[in-house]
Amino acid sequence: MGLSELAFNFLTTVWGRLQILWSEPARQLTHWGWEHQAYYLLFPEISLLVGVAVILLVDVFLGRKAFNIIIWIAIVALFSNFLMTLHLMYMTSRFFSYGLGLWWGQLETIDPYALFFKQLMDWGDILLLLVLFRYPLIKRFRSEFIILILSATIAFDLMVGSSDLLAIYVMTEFGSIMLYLLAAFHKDKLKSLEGGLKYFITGAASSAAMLFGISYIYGIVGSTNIYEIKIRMMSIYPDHPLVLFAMVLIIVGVGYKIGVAPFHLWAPDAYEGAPTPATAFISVFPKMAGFAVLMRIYLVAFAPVAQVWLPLFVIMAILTMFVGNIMALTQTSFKRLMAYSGIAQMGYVLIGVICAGLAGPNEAATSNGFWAAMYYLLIYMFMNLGAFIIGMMNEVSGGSDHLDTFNGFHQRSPFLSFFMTICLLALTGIPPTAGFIAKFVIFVSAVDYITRYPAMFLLVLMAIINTVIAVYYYVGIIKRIYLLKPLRTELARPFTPIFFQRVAVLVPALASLVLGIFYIDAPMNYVKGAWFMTYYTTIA
Amino acid sequence: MSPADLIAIYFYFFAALAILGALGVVVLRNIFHSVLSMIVCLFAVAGFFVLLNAEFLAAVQVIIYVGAIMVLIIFAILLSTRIMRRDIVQTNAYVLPGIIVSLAFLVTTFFVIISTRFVEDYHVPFYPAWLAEASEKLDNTMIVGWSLMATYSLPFEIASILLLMALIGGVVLAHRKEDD
Repeated sequence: MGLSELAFNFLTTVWGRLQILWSEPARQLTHWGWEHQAYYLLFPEISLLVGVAVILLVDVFLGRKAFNIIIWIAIVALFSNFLMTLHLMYMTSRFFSYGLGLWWGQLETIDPYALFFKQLMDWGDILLLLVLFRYPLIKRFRSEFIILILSATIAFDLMVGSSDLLAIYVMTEFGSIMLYLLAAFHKDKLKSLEGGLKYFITGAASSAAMLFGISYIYGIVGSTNIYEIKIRMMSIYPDHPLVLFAMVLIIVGVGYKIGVAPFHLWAPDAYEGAPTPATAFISVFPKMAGFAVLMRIYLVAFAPVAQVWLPLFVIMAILTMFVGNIMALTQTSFKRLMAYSGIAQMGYVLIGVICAGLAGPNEAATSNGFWAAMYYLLIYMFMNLGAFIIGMMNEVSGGSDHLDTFNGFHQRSPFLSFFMTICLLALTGIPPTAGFIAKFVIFVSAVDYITRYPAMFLLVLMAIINTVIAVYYYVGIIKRIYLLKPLRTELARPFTPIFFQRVAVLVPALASLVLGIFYIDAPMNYVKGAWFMTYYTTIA
Repeated sequence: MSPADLIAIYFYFFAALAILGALGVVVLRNIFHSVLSMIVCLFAVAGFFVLLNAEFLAAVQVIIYVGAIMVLIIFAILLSTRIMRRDIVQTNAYVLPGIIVSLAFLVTTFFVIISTRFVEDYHVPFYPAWLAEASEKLDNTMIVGWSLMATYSLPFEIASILLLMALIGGVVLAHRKEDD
């Protein structure tokens, strides 16, 4: 055999192996023991962790002068997180088509559903960090602030992928402890400490309730794995009081994290006391991660016994919308108002979850209600973050977060005023914006069930009434911006945000406008691509 | 006495101890006495773990909770002398709503549990394959170590990251130097 023939044989063998790898990677990679090196799948979180470590070192060696460098490091870490999630999304769709399965003792799953939320959180974090390039209201521990935000993002990243009740608990605690620290960050101000302490104590109590509920679930079905619970729940008599009791306890824990009534009482104080970037973080990220977990628990594990928890959710949704909107009417602080508005917004998402629950255990993840809820969360992130970022600019230039500082805001900054108007109209749900489309798909998915379940008519009616109530306080801010005179003459002095802050305002505001006018289908298809969360396989 | 009776006596002894200890924490008027009472409560919980064949957890409970954490709390009280010698009031304006809510929760839990026949209704033993395999060869403590280091290494690592971040947060909240 000649040398050239040998080389040819070698190359064809390699090529054949590569082709096999390309066509059947799952089998090949499993065969090579790929599952034992599954930390590859953690690269999104590891990139954030490396970012945190580098920030710690830079902070030690370069000191406080290096704050801009620290923000850039954080943005690079978040962007590499985003690239890794894109890569994993490509892997899941190209090779595996059902998600990458369950890993690490079946505690975590890598599926498009989790990757969707991870990508959203990257975008939100980057927008928030862009504002911090010039944010004089946090003077001390600025790099620690960024470290806490990044580590909370790690926690939420892992939380949305959790497929085991215990993993959900651990990751939720991790994220919550970071949030308590962020809420109490202005430790010199009594309000911040009070808000942080309230958040911490009620949070600890609700976590204990959730853990208690998890222990009952384990007693009922003998497993804490979400997909295992689903299979075992099929054979369980659903009207048993213990099932209801355990579900109520788990709602206490998760509902607290997403701030739905009657578990919302921490929200106004924690929001008001926290530094405004931390408030923006608390108002968006734990809610998204909490809803990701809520939908995974209730639409997968407890979907077979949906008739037990659906009435609870209906009551919670109606209560949440009314409490949020009515309490928001009388607020004078922008942050408190946004706290109650955020509570009310979560009520609409709950309607989507209810519709998905009505669709049945196997159709939940492909139902209109599920898509509507995820679409609403996507739009909510942009419009709420946009409003908060402009609120931060207003606080920097106006001195406080009192709503009076918005009086005559357009004299101070026409640019910010215009985009604030867009964000507020989107939060209200006025037609040209994406906020309208989000509410519309929620209502449409609920209307589908009116003929079969008359209670859904009541729910839709309440939601529409609440949308009308919400107009009062959202448009009230717009009225202050354009019609009222500034309180003091120095509040009319022009204020120009720096370039990065303008980017951070433009992106969410334009997203909540453009996604509603031109690209209605694009985010919806993105959401629909992320539907899959019912994959189950034993990696034995 | 049969072994079942002995187990029952053991259980009720430690249950009474735990409840009395927990009551002492919220009722006693001197905060130092409350801490001592909490040690009793945590020790009784360690007794439950022994009863459930979780001897490793029992040891951990005694070493970490009774040993380390309670000593930490005692030191905290020792160093803040303002509250050490004083009798403090353990009730406030919300004592009546608190009692009502706690009683409602207790009654609900009680009736839910007595109306459940755990063994007949729900006894579905669930062991992952690796655990069934391991329990033939190893004892409890070794399985705990194995699962922490191999199967469930992810939450183990996450807990260490959590501790690091809590350390940073603790520095942020407790740091007092004004020149920064």
